[in-house]
Amino acid sequence: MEKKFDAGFNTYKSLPYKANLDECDYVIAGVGFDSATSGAPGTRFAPNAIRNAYWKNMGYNQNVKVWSDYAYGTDYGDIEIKSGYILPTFHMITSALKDFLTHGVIPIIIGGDHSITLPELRAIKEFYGPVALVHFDSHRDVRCFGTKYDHGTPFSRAAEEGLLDMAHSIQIGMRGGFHSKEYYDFGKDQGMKVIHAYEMMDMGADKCIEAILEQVQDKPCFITFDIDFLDPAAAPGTGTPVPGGPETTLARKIIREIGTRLDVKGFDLVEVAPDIDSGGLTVQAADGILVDMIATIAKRKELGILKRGSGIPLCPDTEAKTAEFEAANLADPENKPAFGSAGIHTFMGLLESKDIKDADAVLYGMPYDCATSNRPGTRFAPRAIRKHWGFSNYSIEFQFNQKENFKAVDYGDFAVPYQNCHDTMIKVTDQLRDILNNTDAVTIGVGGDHALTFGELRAMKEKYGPMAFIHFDSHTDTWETLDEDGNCEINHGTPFRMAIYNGSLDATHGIQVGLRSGAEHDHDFAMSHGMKIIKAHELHKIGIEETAKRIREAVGDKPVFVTFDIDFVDPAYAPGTGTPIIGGFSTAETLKLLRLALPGLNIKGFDLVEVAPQYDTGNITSLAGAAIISEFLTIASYNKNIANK
Amino acid sequence: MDENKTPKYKPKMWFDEERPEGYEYTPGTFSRLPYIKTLENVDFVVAGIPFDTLTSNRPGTRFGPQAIREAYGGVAYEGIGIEAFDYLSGVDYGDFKVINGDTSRSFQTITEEMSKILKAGVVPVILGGDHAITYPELLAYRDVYGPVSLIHFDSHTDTWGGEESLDFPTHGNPFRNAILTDCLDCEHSIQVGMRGMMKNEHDYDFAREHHLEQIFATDLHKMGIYEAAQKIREKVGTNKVVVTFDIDFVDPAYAPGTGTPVPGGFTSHETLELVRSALVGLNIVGFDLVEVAPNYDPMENTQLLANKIVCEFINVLAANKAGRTHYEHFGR
Repeated sequence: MEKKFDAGFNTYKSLPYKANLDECDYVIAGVGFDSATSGAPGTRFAPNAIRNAYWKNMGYNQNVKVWSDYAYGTDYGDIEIKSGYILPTFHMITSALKDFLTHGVIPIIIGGDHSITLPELRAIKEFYGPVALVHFDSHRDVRCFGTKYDHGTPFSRAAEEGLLDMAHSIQIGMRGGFHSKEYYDFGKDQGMKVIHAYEMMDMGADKCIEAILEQVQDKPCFITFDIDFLDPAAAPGTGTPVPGGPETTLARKIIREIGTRLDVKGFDLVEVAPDIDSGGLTVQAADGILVDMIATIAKRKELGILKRGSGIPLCPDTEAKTAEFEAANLADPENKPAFGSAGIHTFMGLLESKDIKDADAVLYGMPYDCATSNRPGTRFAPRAIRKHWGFSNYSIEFQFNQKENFKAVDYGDFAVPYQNCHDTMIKVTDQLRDILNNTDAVTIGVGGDHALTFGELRAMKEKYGPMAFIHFDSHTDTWETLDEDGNCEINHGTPFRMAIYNGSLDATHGIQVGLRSGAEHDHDFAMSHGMKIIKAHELHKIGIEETAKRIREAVGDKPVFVTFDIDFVDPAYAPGTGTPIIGGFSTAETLKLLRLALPGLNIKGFDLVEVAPQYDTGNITSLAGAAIISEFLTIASYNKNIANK
Repeated sequence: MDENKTPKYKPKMWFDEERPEGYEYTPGTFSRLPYIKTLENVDFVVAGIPFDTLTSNRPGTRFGPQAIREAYGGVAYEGIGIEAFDYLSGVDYGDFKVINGDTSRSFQTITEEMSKILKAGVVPVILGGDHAITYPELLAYRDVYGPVSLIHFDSHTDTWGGEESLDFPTHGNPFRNAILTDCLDCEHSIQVGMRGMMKNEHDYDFAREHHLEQIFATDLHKMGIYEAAQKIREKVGTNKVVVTFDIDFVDPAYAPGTGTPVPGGFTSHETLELVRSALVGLNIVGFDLVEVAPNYDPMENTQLLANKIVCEFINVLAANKAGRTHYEHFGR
């Protein structure tokens, strides 16, 4: 096929612009629509950003082992939309796709937010009947309450409209925004399969591929790829990122394997928001996935198994049924907003309140960073972490609704004087004592630097006695800094030496996990007081399960304080911190460790410290921090509602 | 000051460590005002409208209200020269519950909430959001006060559109729609700073046909701040005035965090001085400040300036309540 080029128009991989569709195997089109986004918008810029990612022809794909040019493709530019208006845009998308499908080509759509998949599926159904859905995402997008048409509802709507072959559909990577048991269970009774992120991490790529092939079999299918399937460290440029996801490598491998074996009728890639990207990571990831997808089409063509569409509609009544549905849905008086804006941002969107008498968990911020040795800036952490929202009500890992029978409140920030570290410690102790005197709730502090934990431990000790201690960190924080009188000074490298000195810490029931910095004898002090230590290299070797077991053994049933320094996490996942140390752990590993180690322990308090948003990229560190706090809340609720029953 | 006249609600200072009962400081409120949804005993409320569905170019103003609240700053004496909270009581009212993606319901919410505030005799100080929200705001002003005068700082006229503008509002047509629905007293309204993209020479026809005066950026640069301020003051006279401020009035060098920036604008000093000298002493019934898209400003200068402008709005209210008729450094 002859290639036509339009000067000045960057087509995807220099494909011909608007070539004859009858000669093509696939067509690329952009849908720059982001008006149905709940998080950060900006996916309207994705089609052109991805086109500009790397203009070069695709050539030989060494992984699929095929010349990508063997399949003919064309770039049709962007489908016309009406920004700001959802239903008119949906109709424009459906009719554009129908135009493509009358020529029998495979549409490859670059979004846009995920709402656009619904109108795409309407067109696909018209030509191929209900299709199997292969859905890569961190969210199931099957919300059944609230706004009817937005980027959180495409697949509940599609199921209602009969666009999907549910018994052969599969969702992979799910880990975020589980509102309820209903959401968790959606479609499973009709045979839809869901692989959650935590399951996927254990299964690995090969077992995921097997599961997908087994579920879809030889049915016609549609692959939809939400870029937030990937971990925010690999793809920060998206509106609703969720930590704890896979790498690009895994995603591309799955796409290559299933793409060559399934009867793919259409593909879309959505939710890339280039303007909030970091270093072009997200756009590059999206580009890689598209390249592999296209190579699989070439491969199927080479093998002679690529089925061209007939161009004749199987279900010509789709449009009329859609109109029926829309009318019914819009007349629905229950069509209320799913998420009211919270006004003032609070941790996890919790109630902001000083009324803590009947609370089960009290969260407080400590915006203080004057005891930091290297890069300061953690004073901005509480506000950065408060900006993140949309955490699950329903815990997919523990399988219970954590919000039920569990009241958590945001107490606001502690007043911390900046001038003097000793004053600050006294203030932190005083204010935490106030809370502890008024409630038996679990407390969750958000730093600030790690020195603050010393102030917190003093207040905890007054109520509970010397605390057993679980410490996730890359540093021991039991160093010695002497002042002119020879006394140890408080700073963010000494809190636990100080706490051992004054008896706040019961080091014989203490354990430090993830340590990977310092000199030969740095740990002698802690160990001489009975502290157990699992260094990072050891954790990597013995694995998460064994580490969790050792943590539980170390603390027993003593009252525990859990302190989490974000630099426990690897700087690739959490760069925004004062003293990052490489060789750490992914967010998925971190969250798994918390889930295995902490449930059922007698935990009285948590804190999360050392997030420094100004060194962050794409807000991934504050997001990781928020996810860890959210996990603390889940575990506190689990301890109250399940473990203690 | 008489003890009884002490304003009920005022900002909490960062160095105040005491927290009296019922007077708590919530992190992240505007100027550390208390976060209470009340219209009693207040002169003004600061409220956010995190709505950006109708943006043509770069979206993200849904994050504007919170960014402006959290920017370093707060109401201060410097500038107009008044201790605002000796005269005024105000609260942070939180955000209106708008739904991005659902324009009609969001507009309905905005109009209802605004009417509630205006009927209580309270001055709303609104943090946007894109400029489309000013249209439903003006509907509420019309319902409560009748047609009002408008002082509109912007780089765009925002009176674009054609036949379908009422059916399809965007952030380019709020004032066309406001004029079509009789919200504005155009004879006593003025637009300042226009320099944005023009599709053709007829772009300003609609405004001109309705006698809406404009001071273009080039003219403003020539005539200077104080002459422009004088023009604005003469234009609106003693009418009830709504002030709407699009942050892209300011030059992108000072305010890059916005969806549709236009070079050739004004410095932060010129902007603040114009706001102070034009507005003190006018019969102002409401403000909004729109189009701050913080994700496009990594250095946070845009929200820093926006915060300051909103603080000056509040200082203007205080100066008016204190009986001042003009900005005392006017022209000096």
